[in-house]
Amino acid sequence: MFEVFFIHVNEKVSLTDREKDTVKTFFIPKKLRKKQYLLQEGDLCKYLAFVENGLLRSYNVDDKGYEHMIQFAWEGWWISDTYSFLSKEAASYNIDAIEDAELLLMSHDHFEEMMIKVPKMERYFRILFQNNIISKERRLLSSITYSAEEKYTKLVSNNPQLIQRIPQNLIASYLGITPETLSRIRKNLLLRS
Amino acid sequence: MGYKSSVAIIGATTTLGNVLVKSMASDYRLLLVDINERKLKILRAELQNLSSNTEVELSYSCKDACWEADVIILAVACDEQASIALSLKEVATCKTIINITTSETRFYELQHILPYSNLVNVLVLGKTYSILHQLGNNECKNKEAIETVYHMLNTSGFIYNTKNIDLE
Repeated sequence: MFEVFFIHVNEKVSLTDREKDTVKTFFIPKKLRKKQYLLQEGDLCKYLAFVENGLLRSYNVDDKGYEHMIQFAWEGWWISDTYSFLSKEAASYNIDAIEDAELLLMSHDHFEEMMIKVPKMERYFRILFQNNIISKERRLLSSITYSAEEKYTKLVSNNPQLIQRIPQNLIASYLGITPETLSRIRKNLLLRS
Repeated sequence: MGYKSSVAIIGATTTLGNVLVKSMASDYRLLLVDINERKLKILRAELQNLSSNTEVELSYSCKDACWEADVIILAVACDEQASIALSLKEVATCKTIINITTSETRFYELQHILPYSNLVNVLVLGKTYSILHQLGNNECKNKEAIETVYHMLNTSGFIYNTKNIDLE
């Protein structure tokens, strides 16, 4: 149940078996079925979620009912509405499962308690948040400066297997383009290759 | 709008389980577990006839149902509780488990089996219920778990007995 999690943690910090046993006691094992919600906009985001298995998405729905993808999270990724989780204010995002998923959930209180009882995890989360900031800066730069085709090409090269798992309309939403534009891009790339 | 919590009810077709299932079906997504497959299917059909909005899943695996659940209710005979608790131990960490019992004798055993769950033992006598508190380290300190119990049982038609029972 914690296999992927500890592989991920091990990349950043080295935990003893005793520390691993302690860490496990702070997580809620949770299974989600495809299309089931983990979080709905307006509710309070109570958990950080680590994906052991499956695929989730976070998104926002605008006034016209269009969904805007914020993030995808697959095996080894964390997903949450971080602002709601930390500030304890209403969530801006929805989070649901694109595939059946196995998650490890951590509440705010357990997050704080775990940092005290297993101090190495503070380093782990510090590195995690650093990487998250870098990733968001890159995505912001990409959205401002790259063409639609460049954005798509970069996404595919960074996540080739993931592209097969996500419906095209969701990929288009994530890139900020229409499904028709994405379809045209893919066709052009195919003709050129 | 709002996230609908998933509640696993182990022993869904017992007398007590049946009452809980029917009263909770409109507010929660239910995962029903029982060894009697025939009665489970009858129960699901009854619920679907009551309302088309009910979300009810049948499960023949305690572990799988509890893995999906946010809250777990044990509505089984005392002599089955320990073995069931062992089967779902791995997926019950940090979850609220409501042990509905007519006897407090198994309290210590369950707490020992599920040390990292928010275990709330509820003694039911007729239509009234009391929360069993154990003095000392094993007391359920999670206020949210206790409030969940109040909410679930009060809306199920049970009457809270304000005299809580402290176990030595």
